[in-house]
Amino acid sequence: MTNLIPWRKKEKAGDLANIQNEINRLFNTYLSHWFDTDDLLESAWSPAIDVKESKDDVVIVADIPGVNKEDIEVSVHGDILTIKGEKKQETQEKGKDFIHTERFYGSFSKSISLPCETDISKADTNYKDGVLKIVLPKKEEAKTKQIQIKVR
Amino acid sequence: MNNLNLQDIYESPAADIHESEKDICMFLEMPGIAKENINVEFGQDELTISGKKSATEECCGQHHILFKERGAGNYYRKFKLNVNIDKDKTEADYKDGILKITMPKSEELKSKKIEIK
Repeated sequence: MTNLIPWRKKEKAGDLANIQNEINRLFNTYLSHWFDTDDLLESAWSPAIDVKESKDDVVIVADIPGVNKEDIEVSVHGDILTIKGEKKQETQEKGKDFIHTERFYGSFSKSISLPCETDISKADTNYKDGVLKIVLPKKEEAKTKQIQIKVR
Repeated sequence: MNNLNLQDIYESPAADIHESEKDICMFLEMPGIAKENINVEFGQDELTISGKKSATEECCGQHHILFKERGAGNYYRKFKLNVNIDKDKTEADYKDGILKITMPKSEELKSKKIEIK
């Protein structure tokens, strides 16, 4: 006679989900102090950037939605331009639950190298509709001079 | 093969959704678009959000592109609503590239406590 085995409803991918839960539990309870996850997440996002150049200036455009103008910092060291800032979460009202989150919050930083020397003192920055636009005029000596070459 | 035009590419904006007893609140990241070019529409049981950048907004002029990561700035996303929404009282607001949609729940749907006799 066979032994009676309690019947369990088979769930699709149940085992996999269990393993994942176990791993999550392990990380959450035992290993959480090993990693400072805040540090890891800090560099998780950086704004998408376009860089355009004309003969007089270099234009940098960055998508940084939902940031206070005061929280954005632009600096130039040599030919490296850095955009830093912090994306703060909208103040959450009491009694509201998140049912879905995709957006990133926290500090971010992005550096790009500029194609030529620019005059930072004449830089013009502007933030509108979540887009940061920086216009950096080129230094006189960096502007390409047209040289006539005689073809013989 | 047809030429793929950057203007025809649509991005799906990142969204946060909060829910309270009274309403559902959505935040969508749609930077660089004029308020007038954003469309929020209700279907039978879905919400469609779209936005298209006008040609003048992305004008390059004398510039040539050295580096490009940003999308064309066209957005499209659809959400299925499984809660009854008071469509007439829904409000949308666009600031700093974030579209906020506040959708109050219909009266009859707000949680009701049922008396047990």
